[in-house]
Amino acid sequence: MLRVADIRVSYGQAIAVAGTGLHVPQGGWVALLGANGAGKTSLARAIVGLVRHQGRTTLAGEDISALPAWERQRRGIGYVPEGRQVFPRMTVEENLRVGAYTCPDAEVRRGLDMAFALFPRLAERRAQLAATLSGGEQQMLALARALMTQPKLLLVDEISWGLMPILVTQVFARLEELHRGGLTILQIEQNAREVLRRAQHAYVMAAGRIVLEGPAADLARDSRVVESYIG
Amino acid sequence: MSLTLFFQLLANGLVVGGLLGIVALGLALIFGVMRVVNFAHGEFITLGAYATYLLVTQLGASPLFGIPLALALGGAIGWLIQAGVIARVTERPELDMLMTTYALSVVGLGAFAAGFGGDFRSYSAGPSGSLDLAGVVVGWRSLTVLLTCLVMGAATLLLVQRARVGLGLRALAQNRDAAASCGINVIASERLAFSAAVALAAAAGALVSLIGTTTPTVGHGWVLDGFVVVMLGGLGSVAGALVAAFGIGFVQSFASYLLDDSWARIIIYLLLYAAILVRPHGLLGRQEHA
Repeated sequence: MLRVADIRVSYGQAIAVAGTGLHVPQGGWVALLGANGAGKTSLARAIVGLVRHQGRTTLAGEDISALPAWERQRRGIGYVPEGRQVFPRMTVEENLRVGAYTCPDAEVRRGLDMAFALFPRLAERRAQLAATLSGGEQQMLALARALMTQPKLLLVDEISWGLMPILVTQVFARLEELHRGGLTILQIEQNAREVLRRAQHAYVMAAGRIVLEGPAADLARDSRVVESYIG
Repeated sequence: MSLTLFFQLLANGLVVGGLLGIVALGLALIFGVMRVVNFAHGEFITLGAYATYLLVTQLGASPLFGIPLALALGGAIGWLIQAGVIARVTERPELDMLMTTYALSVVGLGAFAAGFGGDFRSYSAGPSGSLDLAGVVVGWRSLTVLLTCLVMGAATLLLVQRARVGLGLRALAQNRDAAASCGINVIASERLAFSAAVALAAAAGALVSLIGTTTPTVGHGWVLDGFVVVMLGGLGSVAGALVAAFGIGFVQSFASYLLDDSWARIIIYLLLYAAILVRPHGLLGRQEHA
């Protein structure tokens, strides 16, 4: 589904991603682990087209390397950025409508129905400004917004960060539902234990490169991973 | 002060406020969407004023046709300048951006001075006479200005608040990256916002030429007050800017009558300074990130 190769991202002299790649199969759930500053978010921003980079990205066989972020989204990449990034001075419903910005009206309505069915909490707060939501609600809003267009691939960056344990469980349960429904997921996650239990395959990033990869179950037992990320 | 005089000053304030509102709406749109302080906005007002002046004096047309002409001309020139000049420096440090719009302003000013000289230009064609409402006299020209401003302001607000294109612009103003990853073509949206704002400025210029004289610097005074309005109302806040516009319009109208025009200016800028002091996050300090 998604194949990225030789991605390089640098900010001035600082190299964030030093020529690396990964593969997410159709219908797969792939985890991307790594310490802070390993380059995970920079790699994610390169994949969605938000940062200047070199390298090749193909989505469902189509080369999207030269496309800007909005064209990549239109080709089926849904992105839940690190730190939620909801539109604070818009209502919940408006945030969701922005998520479906390029869709015809009928699809917007269908998307809203789906989002409110998946997250009843958002339905209760549909007229409330996003800035007034709790952290967990904002995270759900960011997820629901990325799902409005029924993406082929969902890229989630640190979705459980800063959430109470019960909300982490809920968010993962939602992702499981979506995955069962056929969604392909690439998930950057600090909570290695939770994500390795669910993903099929995992990559570990350090100093801008993929340094380790394998079936998630194997990595969950790998001493290097356990020491660094599970503890 | 008699009640009639009070209403007369109120009416004058409304006309000034309407024009300021349109100018400030454009400045707020450009700043909100692109984080650009457009020093060249005044020259686009002047452009609309001269375009209307030429239309009337060279082609003998009614100045009312100057309004759609200025809208179209401003939209087209705004589009070209955004694509050719502004877009090349949007990713650069803010000072580069400021100097670019300042340079545009100086170039525009020079071009108008070279083309038209410093003469005061005006015309007598167009709406004439006045409406007497129980002693309050409002010229048809002023009324035309106010009504046009209200229509343009309402249309812009409606687009920004209700239409899908406005939803995209608001999203862009609140979080550029998130907007781009929601499928919004941020480059085209910025171009649209700039172009629309310049169209509004040029239309305001057409209206200014209807009630006053046109000189190469006619846009300058309006745009300075426009900045005051945007700052008082909150940069990037469309509704706040409109409220502030009429506020400044009334201050201008009442202070010029009760004291004189210089005092009106002093009071307006003292108000601005007071606003700076009471705003804890500074005038530009509303760039929250969720």
